[in-house]
Amino acid sequence: MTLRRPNLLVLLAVSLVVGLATGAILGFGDASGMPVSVQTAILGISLILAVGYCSWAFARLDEAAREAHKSAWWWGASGGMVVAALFIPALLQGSDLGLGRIMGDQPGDLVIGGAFAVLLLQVAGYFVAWTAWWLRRR
Amino acid sequence: MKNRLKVLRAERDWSQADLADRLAVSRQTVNALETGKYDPSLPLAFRIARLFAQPIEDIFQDDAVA
Repeated sequence: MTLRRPNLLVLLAVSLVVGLATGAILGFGDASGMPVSVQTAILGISLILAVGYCSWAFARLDEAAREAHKSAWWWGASGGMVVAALFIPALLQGSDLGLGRIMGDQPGDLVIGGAFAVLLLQVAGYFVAWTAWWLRRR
Repeated sequence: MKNRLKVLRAERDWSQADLADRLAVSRQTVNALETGKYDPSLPLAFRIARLFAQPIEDIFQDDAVA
């Protein structure tokens, strides 16, 4: 069976639109007093859409492309976590450059901000490792 | 792992894109295979062998043996 390969730009565009729409709805919803249950439902639906679309796309990738993604997740995202483990505690200590200035200094703010910072570093590491995988095989 | 993919493809006057379409993989994957920088899975190796109507060992050579 031949599977139609997904267009990477379409994948990125759909992800971007779903992410922006969800962020906008939740942002405005928060300001307008939208119930937390509705916000949670909207977030859940968008995550289901994102995971569903990624699963559909991954199933249509060829084996080398899958290997690139698996390798990128292992090396890039793990590397991102290591970088986060090294630098986030240090950033939390500083007063001027501290993450607390950006994210707020309440414990809850720091937990959410720290988790988001780890995620960002993992995604950055993922793209570096993914690019390196393909460059090594040109 | 060395292979004769590029030679076999050239004999048939196929582009990398032509071979990619016949194998249902991307052109980048064909390039990685031809340069020996990506070793195919057994299912893909069998697909390649069927496409060129040759045994797998006539297309791919183990570096350790060569």
